[in-house]
Order: sequence, then structure tokens, then C-alpha cells
Amino acid sequence: MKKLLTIFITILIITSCEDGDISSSSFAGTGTGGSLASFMVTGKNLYVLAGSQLKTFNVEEGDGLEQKSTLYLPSWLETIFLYETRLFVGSNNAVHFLDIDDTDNPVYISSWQHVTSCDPVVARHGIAYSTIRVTDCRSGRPETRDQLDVINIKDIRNPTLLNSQQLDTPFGLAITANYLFVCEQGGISVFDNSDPENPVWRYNAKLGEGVAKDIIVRNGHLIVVTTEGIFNVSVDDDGMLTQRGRITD
Amino acid sequence: MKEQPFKMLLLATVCIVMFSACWGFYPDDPAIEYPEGEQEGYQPIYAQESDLEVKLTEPREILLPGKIYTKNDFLFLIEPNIGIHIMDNSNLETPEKIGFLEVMGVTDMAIRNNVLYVNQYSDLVAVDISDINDVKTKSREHDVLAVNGGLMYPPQYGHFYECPDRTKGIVIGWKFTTIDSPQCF
Repeated sequence: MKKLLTIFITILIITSCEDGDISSSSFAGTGTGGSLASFMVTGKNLYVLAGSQLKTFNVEEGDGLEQKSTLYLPSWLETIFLYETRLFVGSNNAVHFLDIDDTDNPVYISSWQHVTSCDPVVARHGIAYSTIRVTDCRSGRPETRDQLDVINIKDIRNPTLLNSQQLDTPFGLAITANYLFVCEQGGISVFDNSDPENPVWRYNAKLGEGVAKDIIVRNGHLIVVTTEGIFNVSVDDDGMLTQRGRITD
Repeated sequence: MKEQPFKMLLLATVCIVMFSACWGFYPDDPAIEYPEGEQEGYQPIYAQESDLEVKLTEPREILLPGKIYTKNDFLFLIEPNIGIHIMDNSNLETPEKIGFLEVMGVTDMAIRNNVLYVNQYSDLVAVDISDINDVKTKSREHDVLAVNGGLMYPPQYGHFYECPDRTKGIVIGWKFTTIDSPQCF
């Protein structure tokens, strides 16, 4: 009888493990990409960058992907960031600001021009932050440098540069209420952003042996992708990073 | 005054000479002679429809991490052109790989209401992932993300190439190799 009970319990445990698999409706709602994403879902729309085109699809219920519009921009488009009712598109020569009040038809508003480079962008409270990477990018002109541009976008028709500071081989970036996190120097640079117009570099933290490429902020912690894999990193009130679990195999 | 007609003639001649520089350089120029026999040129790399099927497999080793995406406690890491690692990140100390979604040609993705949107080369594909163990392709928009004519043309202009043949599969790339009596330029 005892033996039977043990078998029964074992079976129960095994089945409950199986239930631990990805259950249905785990993926309801909308997810979040990193700052290097070229796909963006919001509301009933999917926005995808392809070359110099921004393609807008309606993805409401039903099986179809209905293409609504194509917007051509004079750049090679790389990254897309949602800010209020605007899309910020990072490209090889500018950050383009687009209006999506009419969600099916993005409209060009203005651009922040810069040297030929690679440049994701994030924004918060009327300030946009864009990393400009020349190193190992397409231009590599010696007179240009890797930098962080802080751009005032309170008047979106007229973006103005507040300041720039030098970086070393930056990739993706992410922002929270008090901090700006930038993948650079192979690790993550933490900037104190309590004055949003003047992010102050605090320190750089390395994760594993790889080069940090992009960051997602989720529930107050960071998910970082490096050339080795992914790292969970928690942030305390002083902006200090602590590495948690990782998957690099 | 007397020089005027001469000037006009000179201008016309210059124009004709300039335009003639353009003649004969278009790819569809009937004057192109396609060479017989073996030559250097571009050859399409084909994939079959079945290769493009999106399906869940066992977790795999991370080779070359691409873009990341989160949805609730799940984490998606793109293995460019091969597929997507799916990870359970509900415990920050012990994230674990729980599966690998084969998506040939993938570079980016997004999720909305149990539907995964991915690219496969220039195709945009919607995949129903409400039952991740039984993913279903809902729709596929062929070549909607194609850039510069997409993959129907070789990456470089000015070479003979083997004309793509849809019956052999879907063109997913090109290789520069020895080809036989090419019919495209």
C-alpha cells in the first residue's frame, strides 16, 4: 500500500512538473524589446523597419497581417522606440521623430541629424538620449567620436542638443526614473540622471567575459544581453548593480 | 550671331555623347551575350517551405546572441537566422532555457496577445503561440520586408547569375561560385 502511495505521489509530482511548462495565455498582452529592436507592437499596430522603410501593419484579431502604410525616410533605419504618441527611429545618420496619432499612418515630424554611425535612442520627460557609435560602424571617420547626445524634445518640431559626452563603443541603452544605463566599454555605464538634462557618469560594470549589447528594464531590474548570453542584474537605490542569475551556455 | 547654330550643334553633340554613355549598361539590355559553359557568377541558395516551418524544439546552446524580448516572466533571445531561445525568467537567480523555437532567417520579433511576429528573411510571419507546444503559423506576408528587390537579385551588380527558380525553393541567399551558362545578368 505504501509502495502504491509512493508511486502515486511520484506520478503526481511528474505531472505537476509538466504543468510547469509554458501554459496557454502566458503571452497575453504586449511584450517589450530592447533599445536595438526594429519591431514595435503597440495598440493594434505592428511597426517594422526594413531598409529605409517603416512598414505599419494592423494586427487586430483575425489571422491576417494587414499592411496599412509605408513611410520612406532618407536613412538606413535601425531602431524603433515608442515615446508617448511618437515613434523615435534611430538610423545611420539621424534620429527621426514621427507622430502616430493616426496609428495606421505614421507622420514625419522632425529629425536630429548626426554623423554616420549606429544609434539607438530612448527618452523620458521630454529629453531623448541617443548613443552614437562610430567605432566599428560604417563611417569610422577619425574626426568623429563615440558619444551620448542629450536632446531636448519638448518642442518636437525643433529638437535641440543640450549636451554630448564621450563614450567608448556604445550599443544599447535603457532609462529608469533616476538612472541611465548605457552599454559601452564592453560593460554597462551607470549615469546618475536625477538632473535629466545632465546625466552624470558614475561607473562602469562588467558582466562576465563578453561585451554588453543591449538592456531591457523590467520591474526595476535589468536584463542585459552580452556576446555570451543574458544576465539578470538588480539595481539598488544608489544605482549599484548586482549580478543575479545568467544563461551563457 | 553667326556662331549660334554652331553652338547649338555642339550642345546637341555633347548631349548625345553624354547620353550614349548610358546605353548598353542596363541589365535588361538585349545586347548582352550570355556566355556558354562554366563561369564565375552568383548562384541562389535555396530553402524549402518545410525548412521555414516554425516549431518548438529542445533547448539549445547559445551561440551568437542577437536581440532580446521579454513577455511577462519569459525571455526571448534571438539566435540570428536560426531561431529563438525561450527562457523562464520568473526567478532572477535561476533563469532557465525551456525551449528553442526554430525560425530560419529570423533577426527580430515582437509579441502581442499570444501571437509572435517574426521576420524570416524578407517575409513577415505571424505565429500563434497560445499553445507553445503546438505553434501554428497564422499568416505569412511574402517579401514584405524586402530591401532593394530582396533576395531575388544577387548582392552585387554586374555579374552573371543563375536565374532564381521558384520550383527549387525559396531564395535565402547567394554564393559566388562556378555556374553553368547563366541566363541572368
